[in-house]
Amino acid sequence: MKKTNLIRLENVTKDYNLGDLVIKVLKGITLKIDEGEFVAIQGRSGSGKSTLMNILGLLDIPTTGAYFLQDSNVSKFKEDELSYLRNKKIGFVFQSFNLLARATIFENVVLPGIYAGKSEKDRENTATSILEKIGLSEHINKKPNQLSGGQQQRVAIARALMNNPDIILADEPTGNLDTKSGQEVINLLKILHKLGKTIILITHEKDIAQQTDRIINLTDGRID
Amino acid sequence: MDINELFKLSYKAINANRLRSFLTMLGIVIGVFAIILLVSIGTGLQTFITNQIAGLGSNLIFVIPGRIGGARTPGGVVSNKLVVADAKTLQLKLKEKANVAPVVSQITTVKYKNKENKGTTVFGTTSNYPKIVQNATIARGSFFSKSQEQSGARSAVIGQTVLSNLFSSQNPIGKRFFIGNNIYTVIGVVNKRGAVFGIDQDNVVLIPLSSAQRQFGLTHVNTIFISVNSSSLVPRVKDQTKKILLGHLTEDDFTIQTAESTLSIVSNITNILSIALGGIAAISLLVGGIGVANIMLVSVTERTREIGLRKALGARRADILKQFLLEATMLSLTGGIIGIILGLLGSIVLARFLVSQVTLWSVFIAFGFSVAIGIIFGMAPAIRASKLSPIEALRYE
Repeated sequence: MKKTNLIRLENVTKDYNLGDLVIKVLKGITLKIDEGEFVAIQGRSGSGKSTLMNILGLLDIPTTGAYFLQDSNVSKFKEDELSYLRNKKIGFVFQSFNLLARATIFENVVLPGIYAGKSEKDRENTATSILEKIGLSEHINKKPNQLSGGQQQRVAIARALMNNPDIILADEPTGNLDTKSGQEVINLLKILHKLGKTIILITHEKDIAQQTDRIINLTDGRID
Repeated sequence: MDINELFKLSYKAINANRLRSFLTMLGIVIGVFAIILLVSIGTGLQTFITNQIAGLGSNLIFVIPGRIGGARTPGGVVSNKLVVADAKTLQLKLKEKANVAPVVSQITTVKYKNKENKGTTVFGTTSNYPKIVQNATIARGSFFSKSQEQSGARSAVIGQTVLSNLFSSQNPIGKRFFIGNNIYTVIGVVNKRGAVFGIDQDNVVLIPLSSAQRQFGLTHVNTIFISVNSSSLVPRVKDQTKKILLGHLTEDDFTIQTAESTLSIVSNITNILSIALGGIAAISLLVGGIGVANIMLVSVTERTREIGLRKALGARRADILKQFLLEATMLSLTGGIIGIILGLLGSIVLARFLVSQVTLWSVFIAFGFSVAIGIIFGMAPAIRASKLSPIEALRYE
């Protein structure tokens, strides 16, 4: 079966303008990620991996270069178009979980479904079934601070799956967790990979990166 | 994002900071409450005065000394050249067409035994006064007769305030009391007339014109009432009166008014009063609105990370804008509704002590204002929230 390029970056650069100082964070990144891949982007802090993740996740746009997502050039998209794509195509998992503290687990998971315009019934069914599969059914009405870090990150993964996206973008998902719960999160990502999701894992930990299919090393804004 | 979710979201946000939300609403509550209450007072006053004047009767013309308004003399002119003799001349010349009653007045103290009542207005008038002035009806006893008037009898008809202050629950008819240093006998009591602009219309004593003139040495009149026998004759009698008086007075010495012309002057004044009162209250609503803007700015800052997250998960600018706009509108609208309810209750309670009448337009305006304030003052914070970049917002500590 011929794999198609899900993501294609062509000579992407990113500069930050701080008054008269221009910081070049990404200095020409070209990479391809195929559908169904499990890729780690590895680099030290300051290597530009967060900026790369923001661009891959459509949270930011490149200064120059092109970004093709499923063959459409998204590098020139408007803010609301990017919001739409983030909502449908990408599931985010953050280092600090980023759950809404005042909302219940269920309300947190359902959130992307609300912005996707799904019906209430549809949202409920989807969220319930995801939470069940991830083994969080009993915590559905709890607030995030009543759960352990590992559980909270699994809630975040459940939320990322809400709109059945093609890509899971995990930014240091184990950074705030102990080794055991960190490994559980990685195991969960592996399962999702087996189920056909494309997984991009951003990490600075070698042993985490090594559990993926391919490692992209980033140093000083360039791919090694 | 459907409207149902937006409402839930706003409700939760407001509910999460109950004290803060309550205090913000309070600003709107007070503003709306004040608008409704003050406009009610203004309107109530207008209705009350209008009824009082209408109660005088449409056939009535009254001549008062001096000049009121006018393009040449906007502040009016004070004059005391209108005298009792003018009333007599008018009655003679108008003949059968009208009844004329001059009124002279003096403020003094009245006493009965060890009780006294200060600031009582003593009116000296003619026996046809109750026929002419329709709201001066007799509750008890009788008014003085033509012969009592002509003989300068020491007979008095008292108002309700004088009645309660001097005689409390006793039957006053036949009682002798002091007006200044002279003794008068109570022969009648006038029905309650209430207060206008804080002036008690019941703190009065009515005595025969000649008695009042003799006691106080009054010659200039307070008002000359002219009751025209047919309302169709009112304009003609008005012109005739003017012609007669101009025989020896100038235009600055007297003003002729009919119930109708007085009504239009008074409604002008009370309208301005209503608007002024409403305007003052509107300022407090404006301050309440600034409170809403303030708390929304705090709310946006506090929830920067939440906004960033929502955007990352697919919220568009419009979604965030709507969320915060609705929150601000709900705050001010809830405050507005509470204010309307309190304002209505307040007006009802106030109506027992003072004149007050709720007008539908003030309720609508208050309602509209509170929605508008939510939108206007919520707009800037909401726009600010919607423009936050998701990366910046997510990084915000």
